[in-house]
Amino acid sequence: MRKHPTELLGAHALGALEPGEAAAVEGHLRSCATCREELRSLAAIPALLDLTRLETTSAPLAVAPSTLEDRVLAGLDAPPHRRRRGPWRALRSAWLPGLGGAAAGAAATVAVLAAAGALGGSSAAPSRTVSLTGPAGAATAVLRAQDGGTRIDLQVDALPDTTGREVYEVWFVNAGGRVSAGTFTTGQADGRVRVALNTAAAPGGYDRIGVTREPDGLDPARNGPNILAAPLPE
Amino acid sequence: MVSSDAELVRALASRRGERAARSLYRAYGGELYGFACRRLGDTGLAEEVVQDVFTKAWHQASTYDEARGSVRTWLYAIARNAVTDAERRRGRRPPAAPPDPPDVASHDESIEHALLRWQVDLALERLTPDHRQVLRMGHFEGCSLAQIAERTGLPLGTVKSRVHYAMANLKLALQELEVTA
Repeated sequence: MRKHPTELLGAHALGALEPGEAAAVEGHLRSCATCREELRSLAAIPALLDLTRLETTSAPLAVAPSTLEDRVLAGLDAPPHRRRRGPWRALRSAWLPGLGGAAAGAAATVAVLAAAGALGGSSAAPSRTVSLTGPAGAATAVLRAQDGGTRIDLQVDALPDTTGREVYEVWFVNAGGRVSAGTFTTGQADGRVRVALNTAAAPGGYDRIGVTREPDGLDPARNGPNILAAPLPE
Repeated sequence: MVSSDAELVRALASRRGERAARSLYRAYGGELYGFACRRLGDTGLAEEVVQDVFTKAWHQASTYDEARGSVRTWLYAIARNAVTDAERRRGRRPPAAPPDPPDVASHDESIEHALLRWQVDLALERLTPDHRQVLRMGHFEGCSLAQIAERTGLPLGTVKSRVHYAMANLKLALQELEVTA
């Protein structure tokens, strides 16, 4: 073809040309970088289409209620901890005595390394390391800020195994409440586990990090006992 | 005055903050709500996620760095984590630790995959029904241009043109939504 078959490149990317037409387009492409580039920019589309079930009249995508805009705007100044409904709210006070301080005979030790990449992580973001302790075990948490939240690399040194639907849950805590940073289970016989939790929560504004043991990970009610805790320095 | 998205985010920390927040919500709130709805299957939770995302953006606006990525990418990163948090809140057990390869037989779709699928659906929604029709026939039904013409009763020239514009418009929509496969 002497003319650029621009109008056929989309069809070619879809494989919708007759064999003769396709061969002619291929022949042109061999000596035309412009059309090759154009085809390349279309070539990823079939694989993306495969992700969907394409209906001619697409099922309407959910539309946000018109009232949501004002509610979002009104809620912006709320402190960064999550407002939650539900039974666990009454348990906020369970955090204040007990672990996390010198009470209950559990020494909470803190080691903070604010150096960038101090533990050999590949990320360039500075990290903080916190040692959590409790009567039944210990863990080390490396907190690193990332786009959209925080990454927590948790090394659990000694915790009883979870069984059934039990999960351990990590929390950022302050006097106003707590926000979950993720859950994990342990299955190794010696209680050692490494997990990486990615959460939208950020430790700023919280003064403690803790771990509870929840009896049922599938139950939204959270009323498990405190297992580990440590102050979050700032 | 017309502001870029990055300028809006910078304005969040200033006296013009609320107006900037409203503009950003109008640009992205609907999309984020739709994504959260689809992923969580719960409009109440989806609304909480959207509130979460904009509240976090409000508080973390000073950490946004235009050189590292677009506002769209930044907000979706916050949303991705907020949706994951909402899933955990609801009680669904998350994968325990990343190093293990993903379970091929798992019914759980990774959130990254769900987000990609969402973005493609958003892009497709911006096409006309005629464009979606020829893409469906040309890709999913494996029709040639001639077969599309025969089935639709349209002239072959019209079909060629329509497929061309469907693909071109889809490419543009994917670019605008910053879809990277």
